[in-house]
Amino acid sequence: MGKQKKNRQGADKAFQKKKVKVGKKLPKSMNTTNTSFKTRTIQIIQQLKKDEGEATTKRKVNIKELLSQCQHYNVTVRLGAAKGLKELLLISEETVIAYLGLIVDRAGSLMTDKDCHVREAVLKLFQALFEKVPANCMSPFFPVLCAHLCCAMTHINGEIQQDSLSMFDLLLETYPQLVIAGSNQLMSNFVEQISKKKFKNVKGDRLKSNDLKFTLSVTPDSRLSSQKWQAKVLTRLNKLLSIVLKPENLKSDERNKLEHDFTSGSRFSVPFQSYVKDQWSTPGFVIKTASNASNSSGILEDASSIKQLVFNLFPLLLQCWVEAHDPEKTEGSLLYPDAISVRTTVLQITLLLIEYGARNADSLDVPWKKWLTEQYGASFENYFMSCFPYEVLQNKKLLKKQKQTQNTVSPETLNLAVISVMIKFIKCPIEFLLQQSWVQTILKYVRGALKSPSLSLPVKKHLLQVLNELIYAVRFHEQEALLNESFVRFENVHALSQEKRMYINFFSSVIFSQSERSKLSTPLIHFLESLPELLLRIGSANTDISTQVVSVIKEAISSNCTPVIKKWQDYVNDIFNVENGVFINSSTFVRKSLIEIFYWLHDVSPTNLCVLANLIENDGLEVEHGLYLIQVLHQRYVSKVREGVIIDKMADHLGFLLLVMSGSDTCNNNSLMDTSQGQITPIDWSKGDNFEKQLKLNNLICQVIATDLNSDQALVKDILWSHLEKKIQNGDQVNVQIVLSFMTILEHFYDNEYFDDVSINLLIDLASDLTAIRNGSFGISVHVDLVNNLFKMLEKIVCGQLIEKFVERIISRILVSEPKNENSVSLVQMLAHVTHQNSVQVYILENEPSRRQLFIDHFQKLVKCVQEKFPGSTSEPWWAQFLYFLELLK
Amino acid sequence: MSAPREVLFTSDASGQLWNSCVWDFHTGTSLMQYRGGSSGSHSLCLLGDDYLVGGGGQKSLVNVWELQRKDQNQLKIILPGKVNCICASPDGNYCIFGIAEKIYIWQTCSGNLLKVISRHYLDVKCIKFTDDGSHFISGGEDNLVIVWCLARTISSTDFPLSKPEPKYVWSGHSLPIRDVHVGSGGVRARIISSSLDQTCKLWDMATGELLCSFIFDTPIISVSMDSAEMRIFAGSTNGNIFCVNLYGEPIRTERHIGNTAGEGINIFKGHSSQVNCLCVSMDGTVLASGSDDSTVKLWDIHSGQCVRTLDHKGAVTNAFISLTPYNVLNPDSKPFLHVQQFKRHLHTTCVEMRIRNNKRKLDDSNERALLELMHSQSSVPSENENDINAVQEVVELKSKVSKLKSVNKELYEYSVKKIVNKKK
Repeated sequence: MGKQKKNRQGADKAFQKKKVKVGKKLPKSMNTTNTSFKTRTIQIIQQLKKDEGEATTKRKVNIKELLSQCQHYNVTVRLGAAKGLKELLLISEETVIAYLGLIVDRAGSLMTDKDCHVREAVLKLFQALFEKVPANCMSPFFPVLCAHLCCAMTHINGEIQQDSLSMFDLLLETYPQLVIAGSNQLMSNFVEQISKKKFKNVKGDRLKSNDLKFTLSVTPDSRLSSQKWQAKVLTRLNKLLSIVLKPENLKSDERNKLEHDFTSGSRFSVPFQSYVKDQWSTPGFVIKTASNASNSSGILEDASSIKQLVFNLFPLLLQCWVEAHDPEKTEGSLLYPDAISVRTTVLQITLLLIEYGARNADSLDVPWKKWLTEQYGASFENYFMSCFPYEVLQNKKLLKKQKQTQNTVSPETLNLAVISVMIKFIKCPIEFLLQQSWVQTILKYVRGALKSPSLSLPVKKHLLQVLNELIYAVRFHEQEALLNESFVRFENVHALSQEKRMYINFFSSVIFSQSERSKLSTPLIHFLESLPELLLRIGSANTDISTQVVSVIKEAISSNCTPVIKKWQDYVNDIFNVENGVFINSSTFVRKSLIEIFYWLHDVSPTNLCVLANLIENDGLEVEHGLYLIQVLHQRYVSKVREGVIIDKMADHLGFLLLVMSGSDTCNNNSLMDTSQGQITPIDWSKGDNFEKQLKLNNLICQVIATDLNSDQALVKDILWSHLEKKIQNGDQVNVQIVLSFMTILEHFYDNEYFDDVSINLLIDLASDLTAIRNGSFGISVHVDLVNNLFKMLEKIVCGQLIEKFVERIISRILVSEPKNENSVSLVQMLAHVTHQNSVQVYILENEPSRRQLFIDHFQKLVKCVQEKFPGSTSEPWWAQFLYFLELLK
Repeated sequence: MSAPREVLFTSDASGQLWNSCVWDFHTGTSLMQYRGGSSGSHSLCLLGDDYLVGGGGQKSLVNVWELQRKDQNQLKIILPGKVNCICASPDGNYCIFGIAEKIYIWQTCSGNLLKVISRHYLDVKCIKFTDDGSHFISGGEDNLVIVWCLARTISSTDFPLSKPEPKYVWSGHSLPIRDVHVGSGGVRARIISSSLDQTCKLWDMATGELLCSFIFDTPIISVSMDSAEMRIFAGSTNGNIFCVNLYGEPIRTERHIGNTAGEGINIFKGHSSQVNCLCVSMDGTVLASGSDDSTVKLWDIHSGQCVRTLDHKGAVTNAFISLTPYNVLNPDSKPFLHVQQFKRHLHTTCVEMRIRNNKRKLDDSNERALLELMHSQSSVPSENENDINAVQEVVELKSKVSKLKSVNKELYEYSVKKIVNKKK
């Protein structure tokens, strides 16, 4: 009980009731939760999760905001927008390109912004944008861009106008094709930029005339002088026109390419006509009706509109020409440098338009040249030719400046431009009319220019272009004089210079554009005649020029230009010389061309052939070229023969072939001929290195002789064998080459009639040597392939009708030989080898009994002899085989 | 003996037995022979279905035989120079001769010389027509292959000095051209040319581009393709005939073909001297080749075996296979075309064009077919539901016609009575 009490007392303590008193704070109960907390701010510098859809600039402005900012009234905001767009473009291309239409619209409107910094920023933006966007993506928005550009071009503010030019430059560079499509609109604006400015025009009264006559405008209050302004606009106009008129050029170039350049394309191409290919690149169709045909967007979509264009532009250009220079200050022909550049541009534009008209003359309603001469011939003559050879007036003040700006135009360029325009107005040389007086001035200038050596390279190029046109527009004797001058110049130019190549190009184009190539004028003939010598002089110093020269020569020869053929014949020996000729050092293409030229030569002399044979022998010449040369010469011979057989030619040709076959180094060495007749001389095995080449040549020659000279077979064989005999009996050592040719001839043309003692001796010598070499008991090491080849040939030859003679002679040789002679042993082995051949066995076994007996007698003698003299060899396996065959025979 | 579908025409350089001969190449029997002179290479051709023209060699004389007559006095035509090659248009209306470096075009029926073209610089070696006769191709010693539009070249006859412009000038070869073969397809045909520079080049006529060049190791004298253009055949100077498949991967623009048969290349060996002419039969199974070794060989293309050898007396200059002309088999027939002596001077006034149906039978059948077609179409509406309407319409129209006729008659009578009689 007491224990219980104690417990109760403890419990009482725990459950003691606290007294709550009025006025005192209520104590907190033990089980309450503390709900208070502390706060502190955290700065999050970077968001972990990116905003996936939206790319923004550093200022966290996305594209939509940027675009709306473009229209903001505040300049800085607009500037920021333009810069921001560019920044965004660099960060994420895709978002910007997705909004391409909007950007072009909004940013395009900034082109006419008052603030120059904004315009600058927009230009940079477009520069970056155009690099990224391909032309076909831009094409739907291009009209919008064009419209903004036109706004800028026609803006009141002169500065905006100026900036629009650089924008236009950008477009021309990146989207030339699109500019062409929208050129109509741009063009008229362009013209207006320098001509029709109503409110600033001093000569305001002229504007009333409504017939589209443009007059030059002057803007006295602008910062730039009107001349400079004109120069700027004119250069752009030149660029635009040259691009607009370019596609035609390209097409004609391609067609030329088709004619000439076939060797280059190595990849497979599916042939489609160019207009089909054009359709692939620009899908869709242009629907034209009668009503909308007139307002097409390009200036020159319709070729006949060129007339209107010329009508508008030419007076303007002439005014520019006049204004460029003040005749009161200096003499008419002395010009300041900037005047020269303006005038050159004027002429370039004029030339472009004239040429375009001439190209499309068919679609015009008037004969172009006549119309042009009537309209402008007199005025052009008046303006351009009045003080024709223009010179530069060096102003001392300007001199320093010019060194800084390097793109000055030389007076020669201007003069040449004048000439190239005026050439179009020269009357046709056939007409027996009075030539215009200024033609002589032009001719005088051109001749002077040809003589002066100090012209720069592009000017020289230009000069030749002009010359190329000029010679067709003047009379014959003048043409010849011009060609003469240029030929003199050509002669004096250094052989390896760029200019030489230009002249070669010029002359060859003149020559090959003439239809009658047998009636060339004298300077052209001189040119052709000088080429072989030039080739010799160049040698292998410059492969480009020598290739060009060779191709010109070849084209001339293959198209029946007789002078060059004759001249070439004189140089054949030098060019094909082994030691220092051009041929051996030139490239594969040149070599082939040089070989091919032989086909058309009228006459190839024996000395030429000797040189060629030497060349083929030379180690420096690949087999392929040697084979090709032989084939070309042979084809030439065959075609000559078809015209009429000449026995001399045949002898020459055959002689050449044999010379190649047997080697030319002993060809003049006939004096020793009879000293050692019948003597057996050992074969010289030392020169067997390039036997493969020799073998190929020999095979080809034999084939050629067999196929094409069959009709005179008896004669051919006679020559062949007598030649061979001479070689073998020559007393010198018989070298590998002769052996090879001997064997090939035997293989192809064996004839019992001509086969004599000397030949069989050689054959037996060869047989013994070969067997020895195969056994490894020969002193000199010889190439394995050579031996194998020869052995095969020997087998083939011996296993024919020759077998009887061969066996007889070989046995008689063995019988007289001394004991233990290595040579004889190998002979015996050879004989055994031969008799082991299937065809030989059949031949002997199936012969008549009497002849079989003959063989048996021979063989028995041999067996007896061998057993006496060379007992060592009776243990060899081939001896057993031989004995077995003998048994079979018996 | 049933008539063969195709026959082989051959000629040799000697002309001892005959100038040219017609063979049934399946049996090797000769069907017809034409005597007189000999024909040079590329100078034997059919003129329509009626004549055989052959000549050249070293002479300026051309023989024209009527195909149906065996022993006859053929028409002999003397030309201004040595004939290098002859080609007639497929319909036989025009004959083109290569004489020295010039090309002469004659109209066969009038004998007028329509045009002389001098564009080649050296001898013209070969002229071939496209199968539709619209263009012809000439190849010469000056390495050029030139494509001409026939209509354009002869349309300028009124201006004898004007120079016709070629359609294409292909200058890809580096040595003289020896043979040209034109595939089927008219203006879109493919053309293959062979040259002494050891190559054959395949050209596309639609665009003028070079499609492929085949490089051999011997000069190629003759070239041909089968009608499906599956293979080309090239006859070389050493007597080998290369058969190269045009199909198969990989496709290359340059193919080097060596001296050994390999994948896609088969070599027919048998001739001992250069192969002058090649021709494939219509079905592409038989190849005829004529060589300088005085034989014509017939090859089975698929196996590459020589099936038959026809011996000749001299180097074979021409061998071509053609559909059997009707006149060869029928000695009683008369030639349809009209051939006159060729005139020596250029024809300058307007050309009288004789338009005559060459293939009358064919046209008759065409007409019949057309009529049948019209009948069938007119019978279509009568089978429809509203055929009654149609009948009614016909009746109405007929009544209208009769009304109009009666009015016309009245008018006529009135005029005759009132106007004409008044005058009397």
